[in-house]
Amino acid sequence: MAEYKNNTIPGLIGIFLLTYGLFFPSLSAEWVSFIIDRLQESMDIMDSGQLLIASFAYISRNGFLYFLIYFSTLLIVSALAKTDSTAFSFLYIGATITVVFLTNQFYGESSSYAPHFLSLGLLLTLNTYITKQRYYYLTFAVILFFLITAMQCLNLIPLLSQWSFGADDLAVSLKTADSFITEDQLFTALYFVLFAIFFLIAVIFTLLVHLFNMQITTLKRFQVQEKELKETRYALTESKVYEEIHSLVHDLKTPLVSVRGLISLIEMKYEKSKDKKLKDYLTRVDHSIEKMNEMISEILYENTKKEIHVDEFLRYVISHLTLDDQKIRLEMEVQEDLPCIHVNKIRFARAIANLLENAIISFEGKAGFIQINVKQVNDTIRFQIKDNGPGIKEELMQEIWKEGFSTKDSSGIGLSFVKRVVENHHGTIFVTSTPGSHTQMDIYLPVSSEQGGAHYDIDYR
Amino acid sequence: MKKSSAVIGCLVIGFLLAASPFGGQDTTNSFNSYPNLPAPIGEESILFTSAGQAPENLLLAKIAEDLHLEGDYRPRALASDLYDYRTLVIIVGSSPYGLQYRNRTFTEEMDRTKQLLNEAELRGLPVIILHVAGAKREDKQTVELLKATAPYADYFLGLKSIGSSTEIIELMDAANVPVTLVKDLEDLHTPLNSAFR
Repeated sequence: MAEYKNNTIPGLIGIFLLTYGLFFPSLSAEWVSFIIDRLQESMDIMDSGQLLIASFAYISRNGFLYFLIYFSTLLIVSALAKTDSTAFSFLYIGATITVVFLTNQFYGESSSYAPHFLSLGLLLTLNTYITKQRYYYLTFAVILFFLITAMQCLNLIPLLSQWSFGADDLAVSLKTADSFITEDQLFTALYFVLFAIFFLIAVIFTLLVHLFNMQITTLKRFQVQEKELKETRYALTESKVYEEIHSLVHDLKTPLVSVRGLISLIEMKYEKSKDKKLKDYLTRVDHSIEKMNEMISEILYENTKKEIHVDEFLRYVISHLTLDDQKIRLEMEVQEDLPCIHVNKIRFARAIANLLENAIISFEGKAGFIQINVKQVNDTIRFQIKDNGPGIKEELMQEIWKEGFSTKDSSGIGLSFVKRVVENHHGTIFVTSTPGSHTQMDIYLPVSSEQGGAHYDIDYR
Repeated sequence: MKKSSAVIGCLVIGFLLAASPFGGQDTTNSFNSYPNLPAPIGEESILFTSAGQAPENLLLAKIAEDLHLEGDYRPRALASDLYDYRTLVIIVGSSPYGLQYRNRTFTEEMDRTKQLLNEAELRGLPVIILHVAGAKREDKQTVELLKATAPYADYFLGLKSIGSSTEIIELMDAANVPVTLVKDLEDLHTPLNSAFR
């Protein structure tokens, strides 16, 4: 839609300018009268000053007329084809020559097309250096102004008459008057110099814009590279941190084994004791150590799984979320009598928490809702997480599973981790998203997790 | 197809079109060109007028003034104005903007020119035709005016640059009109003077 608008506005402006350009010769009758008055006065009193005024007025009038034609056709053609494409060049040449032809037919302007073909050739050559400009139309207009003025100067050089330059009505009169008053010397010298000046300005301006554009492009490339380097460094640091944590968690097992052995010794020592309270404490400590041991195993080993009720699992997940400062409504619906799921509790809970945290972050402090729906679908348990946040853009749908992808300043391992965990549980994950409406994540876990193959898919609406 | 092909094609067409006037140039100049007339053909006083209203036609008045020729430059003179003159000098050059400036159409201008020529013939006045813009003004309307004036002309003065266009010369040759072609506008003084003195 944005691209459509971008093309339509220049196109409409182009049509408006073209219409004005086609009527301009009729609207500039007074301008022409002024030129003829000055021209005749110059011959009457043999004054080259009056002739110069007439010639400047001619250059201004014709320059404006052809500026309107060349610029309006550019706007129209650029709405139809990309400005750096071959089709654009051909369309632009065709459209401009057609409009010039129509103007000639209606108003009896110059019937010579050579200057127009040369102007278009030069213009398109310069255009190749400015097509990727931010202010393209403005840059083109400036170059066009100088080039058109330069070409109008050529029209008044008497020597170039035989090369089809300046074949239009007023140019012929001006050149004949110059021939009569100054024997061609004034126009030949003056307009050759003016042509050189305007043409050089057009070329130098184009080169300056091109060089400036190149500098900006290089600067942007450096910025992107710097950002990528920063992200890589961050990911590396994070990876090292995870490695350290993994080692630390592993190291926890050694003292835990010692504690458990000592608890067993204490139990044996006080086996015949009648202190029931003490026995109860020892049993509870032993259970806690057993639980801690299981948790460490689940963190360290992906394949360490156990049966757990869905309700208990979800309570465990929600307990890790911080929703206090958020305006988000969390709705949870769990089907009754669901079978237990066989999961690595720590890892699978982290995966679900990641999805919920992504949804929370996407709201950026705004109000909304997140719905968690768990139910049995055929031989699977479906975990559905739906939010009414901003959604995911279509062009990003293929990228979200890649390691390192992130639209925020994070490590970008969140969704790739989720995918890996679901695959490890022989599950399936689907994502559907409509930008500006909602995002929905569906995770299907087999009731019997020992069966089924892992895969994931994306569905974009 | 390369992106530059459009640009190269455009430049080549431009150069070919610019060079095209040289293609049919006749360098032999096979027509009759007299430096001056053997004897004067016109008498004063003279009506100088314009056919086609090209702005540069005014230079005829300036040349006449330089030569101290007795007469008037009246660009819109009518057949009825001829009664007071003994020679008609018409400077031919049609200009759409010149006609617009004088608020008239080409047809009206052609009718006025024909009426002037008919009246001159009736009165037995010599008619001298000038074409001062050379090859720069050889458009259809100017050639039509020259075609209309050629049968009545007694003398034709023009620039050598029209040598590339044999059409005007052929017209004058067909009407058996003596032709003098000069290099520069300044050189028109001598043959025009010799037409009267």
